[in-house]
Formats: sequence, structure tokens, C-alpha cells
Amino acid sequence: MAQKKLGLPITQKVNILILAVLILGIGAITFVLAGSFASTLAMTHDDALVRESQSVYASIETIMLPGQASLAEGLMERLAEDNEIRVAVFRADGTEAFRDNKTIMSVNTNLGRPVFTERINPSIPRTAEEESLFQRAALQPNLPAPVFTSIIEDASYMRMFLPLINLPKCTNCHGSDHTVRGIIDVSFDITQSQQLQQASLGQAAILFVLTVGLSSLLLSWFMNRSILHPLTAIGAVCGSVRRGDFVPRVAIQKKDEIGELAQTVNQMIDGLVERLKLAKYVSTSTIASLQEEESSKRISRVLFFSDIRGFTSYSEKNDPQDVVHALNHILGIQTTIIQNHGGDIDKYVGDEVMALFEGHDAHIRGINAALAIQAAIAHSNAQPDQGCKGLEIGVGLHYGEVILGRIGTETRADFTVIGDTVNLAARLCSAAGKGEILISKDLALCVKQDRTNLMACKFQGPISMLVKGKEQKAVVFKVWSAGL
Amino acid sequence: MRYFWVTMVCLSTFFSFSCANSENIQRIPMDWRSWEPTTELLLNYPIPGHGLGLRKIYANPLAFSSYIPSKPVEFAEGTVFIKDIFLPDDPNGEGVPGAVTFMIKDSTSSLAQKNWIWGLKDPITGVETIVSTKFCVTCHANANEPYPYGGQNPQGLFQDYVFFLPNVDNLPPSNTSPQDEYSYP
Repeated sequence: MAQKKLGLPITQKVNILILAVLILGIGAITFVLAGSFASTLAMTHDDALVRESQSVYASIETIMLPGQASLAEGLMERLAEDNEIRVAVFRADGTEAFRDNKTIMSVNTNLGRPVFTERINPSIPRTAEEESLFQRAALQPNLPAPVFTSIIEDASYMRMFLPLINLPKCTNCHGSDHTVRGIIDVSFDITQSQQLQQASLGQAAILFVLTVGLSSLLLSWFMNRSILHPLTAIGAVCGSVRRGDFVPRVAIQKKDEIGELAQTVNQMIDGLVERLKLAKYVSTSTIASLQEEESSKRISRVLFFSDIRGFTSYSEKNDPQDVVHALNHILGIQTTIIQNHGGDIDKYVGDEVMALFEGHDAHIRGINAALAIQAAIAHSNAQPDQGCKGLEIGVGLHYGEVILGRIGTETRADFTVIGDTVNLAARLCSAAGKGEILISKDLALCVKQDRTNLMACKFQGPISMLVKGKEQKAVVFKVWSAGL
Repeated sequence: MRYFWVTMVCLSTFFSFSCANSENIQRIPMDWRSWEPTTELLLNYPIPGHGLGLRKIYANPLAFSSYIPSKPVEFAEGTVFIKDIFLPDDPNGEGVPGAVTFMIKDSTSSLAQKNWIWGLKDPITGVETIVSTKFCVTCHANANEPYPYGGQNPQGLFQDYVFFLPNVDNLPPSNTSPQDEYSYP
């Protein structure tokens, strides 16, 4: 039988499934958490920048009211000291206020003393895109100021341009011919925060890989140990049973579903063994009938009957142990030979054996079996130990149609054959003397048509004899081995 | 000239950007010009946010009936002020205004800032756009402080965010002069 090609082993399937579930499950959670974390952080930065900007805006707006530029200058100096927040104020035309060296120099010259220090730090440069946002703040102050990210010298800033509105209270000094007095450029250094975020994401990624890896290994180990290996062991035992080896048992002592399955398989094997042993006591036709669930049918068979001559007298004169021993010895010889010749022991009735032969050469095998049995018993009786205790048998054979069916009740029944053919074979057996084989005319006709593989033997007949239960004489033939 | 374009951009973007809510609700009737002006003062001097052109401010009858010169000033719910803002090339305000802004007293509205709904009205279609930024209210908050326009509120009394109170003899701004005498920077 060709070995069916197996697909991917279930062990690998389970491992792949576990890995996929872990990656998808933990990965999704990690992804969502990381995304949420990054989003929350960004929102926090935005909110912080907006609040900071509003504070700066209010500070600048308020501090300019007294009309003392030095106060605003001082505020800008103080704000410049903060390393994380960078604030610059620009005029609407884009030039930076309070940092204009030319103006400062001019003011200092006018004052005759260096009241204002020159520009300390250059303002944060603006890219083209940032410049457009700057211009938007200057030209469209009614629009919300967007928060954007700006990269400056490897540092990341959350940045926004706030239009400094020319409020009515400001117009006394600044005039009322313009809406926007300037732009407040507020930048919040998020470099460290971003680095922390990236580090956290990196740690989360490493943790994810470790968690998935370890969890996968652990779950795989658990699955292999708890399910897959026991299943493999059960499968191996079932394979042994399929090959006819009923010795192995599943050695699993778990008290779980797998353990129950293992115990069930062991019990099933025990049951099979018991049935196999039981099959020794049941005819093959009975087993076949059970398998085919047949009720009854008419078939042609060669009927074999044997009976020990003088057994009743022997059993009365000898110990039961010797009687049983001698009987079993003779039955054993017959059973072995009948089975070797393809016969089916239907039943033992005391010292009588009833067997069936079927097939196209059933007549040959039946006669050969009878010849072999007589020879074996004769040989046994010739031995010093006299296993057969000098007992001999008579054999009757007949070929004909019989009825095969379940004979009995629902609680106790035999699958056996009945009919006149059976009766005649039994009567021939009764008529046969010690060491004799009597066959019916029908069986002899079969031999006449086909003698292939028939052992060397001689026939005597036809002989007409009256058998019990028959009004007319039966035509029979005696058969014996040609060597005798 | 730059200021002109700044004003134009500001006014036009009021109508086109998402910072404002455009609704089909008509809060103000199209005949607002039949209402009484809040001041006889010729508002043709430049002020931030409303450009260089002429402005005409009207208020609904409720504004006149509810206003009592008391301290502090508090207008009744439903009071409406609306302002036609003409472009500089229409010094007499004879054409269609470049923009129309309004403020409606509605303390319970979620759209209100400082108890007022601030918005713009298309002078032709009448479509109203609610301003959700603080651009309007930030300036108008200054009406409660001493300011250079109209009555100037020299004592900084609470004026409910309105610069030109109805039935009040407003004064011209102290630091500006009528447009015919005003020189552009």
C-alpha cells in the first residue's frame, strides 16, 4: 500500500498559528499603544506650545503697553535664556524686532550710552515652507496659527507663528493703519522628548520581539508536550495496531482529555485483543457474517464431519484429565490441518468436528484435509507417547447447497449452516469406520471433474448404504491414502 | 498699498477658510440698512482689522431700546450690531460693501465668545459665516478699556465689547483724522 503523502505537520501548523497570533495580537496592541503614545505626546507638545505661546503673547502684548522698549527687550532677553523655549518677535515685514542691531545701535547712539545690547543669538531660520506660514500669519491673522515641526541644527522644534494684532490700545503708539504689528515666533525644543520617544519605541520593539519569541517558545513547548507529543504517541500505537501488533500501549498518565483519549485507545486495543482471542472460538463464516451483517443465504459448501470412534467408551474408562487431553490433542491435529487447508471450523460438538470448505477447489482441499488428518492421527498413534491414545476417527464429506444464517435468539445465536447437505455429511461421518473417509456421490463427481492438487489417494465405490434418517440408500465412496 | 492688500486678503479669507462656520441660518434680515446707525460720526479713518475704507454701523431696535446709559453697559439678548465695510475706492459707501461684519448678543450659544456671536454676512447672498477664531473678540475686548475710537471710554468702563454705543455722541479718534486729511504711510 502506497504511503499517503502527508502535508505540513500539525506541530509546525500549531507553531505557525501561535506565532501568527502572537505577532498579530501583541503587535496590534504594541502598534496601537505606540501610536497612541506618540499621538498623545504630539498633542501634549502642541497644547504646551499653544499655552506657552498664549502666555508669551499676553506677556509681550502687556509689556509693550507702557511704551518702554527696554521692558520688552528685557522680556526677550529672559525668554532667550530658556533653552527649551525660543521666542522671537518679528515685524510684519519679516525683520526681527528687538534684535535689529541697526536700530539698537541707533538708539544707543541717541542715548549716548549702550543701553541695549546688540543681537546675541540669530533668529531661527525659516525654510520656504515656514516662510509661507510666516507670511500667512502676517497677511491672514484671522486664521488659526498652525503648529508645525521645524528641524534646526539637528534639533527638533514644535513651532508656531502668532500674529501680534494691532489692538486698539496699541494704536496710540503703533498707529492704526495696519492690523498686524508683528509675528511672534515661538519654538519648543522637542529633541529630547523625541529621543525619549524613539528610545521607548525601540525598547517596546525589543520587548515585543522578546515577548513574542519567548511566548512562542513557551506555547510551542506546552502544545508539543501537552497535545502534540501525546497525539503522536497515540498515533504510533494505532499504527502498530493497524500493522497487527497489539502489544504497544499508550504510556500517558495525564488526567485530562488527552489522558482520557489515551486510556480509551488502550481500552480499545484491549477490546480488540479480546475479540481476536474470541475469534478463535468462532467460525470464520460467523465473523464474516457479522461483518457483512447478513441474516441468511443459500450457499454451496463442502461439509466436513469427523468423529472419534469409541470415544464414549474411552471416556468412561479413563481419567477426565486424560480424556480431555486426548480429545484436545486429536481436535488440535484436526483443527490445524483443516485451517491449513483453508477450511473453517464451524463448531466442535463433543468429540465431533464440523468444518466448511468453500471455493472452486473446496472439494480437493476438503478431501486432502481428511487424508492428512487420518495420516496424522495414524502417525501419532504410531509414536511411543501415543498422543491420540490409540483413538481413531471417521470422516464424512459431502458437497451441496446449505442455508447459512444466524440460528438462535437475540441473546444467544450461532452463525452456522443447516440443511439436508449438512445432515448427509453428518450421517456419512457416522457411517465411516475407524480411519475411514466416506464421501458423497456429489463430492465424488466434483473430484471426477477436477482432481488438480488432490493428494495421492484411492477411491472405492460407488457403495450404496442406508444411512440414518434417509429412506433411500446413499451412494458413497471410500477414500484412503495411496500410501496405505 | 501693502495695507490695502492685507485688508483685502483678511476680508476675503474670512469667507473661505474653515476657521469659520458657514451655515444656512439667517440670523440677520437683509434689510439691516433700514436700522438706525449707531453713530453719526463719519467712520472713514483706518482701524486695524477693518481696513482703510468707510464703515457704517447699524444696530437693531433692541439695541436702542435695551441700552440704558448705566454702568456697566449690558445689552439685551438678541441685540445685533452690523457693520458695512467699504473698500477704499468707495469713499462714500455707495456701492456694495467689501465685507459686512456683525455681532449678536447670545450668551447661551456655543458659538458665542464673550457672550456675542461674531460673524460675517455676504452682502449679496446674505450667507452668514460665524467666526470661531479670537480675531474679532480680541480687538473688541479693548472696547472695555480706554481706546482711541469713538467715545474712547476714557474711564475704561465695561461697554459690552461695543465701541460705538447707540445714541451716544461719539468723538472722532484722538490720533486720527477724517480720511480726506489722513495721509497714508
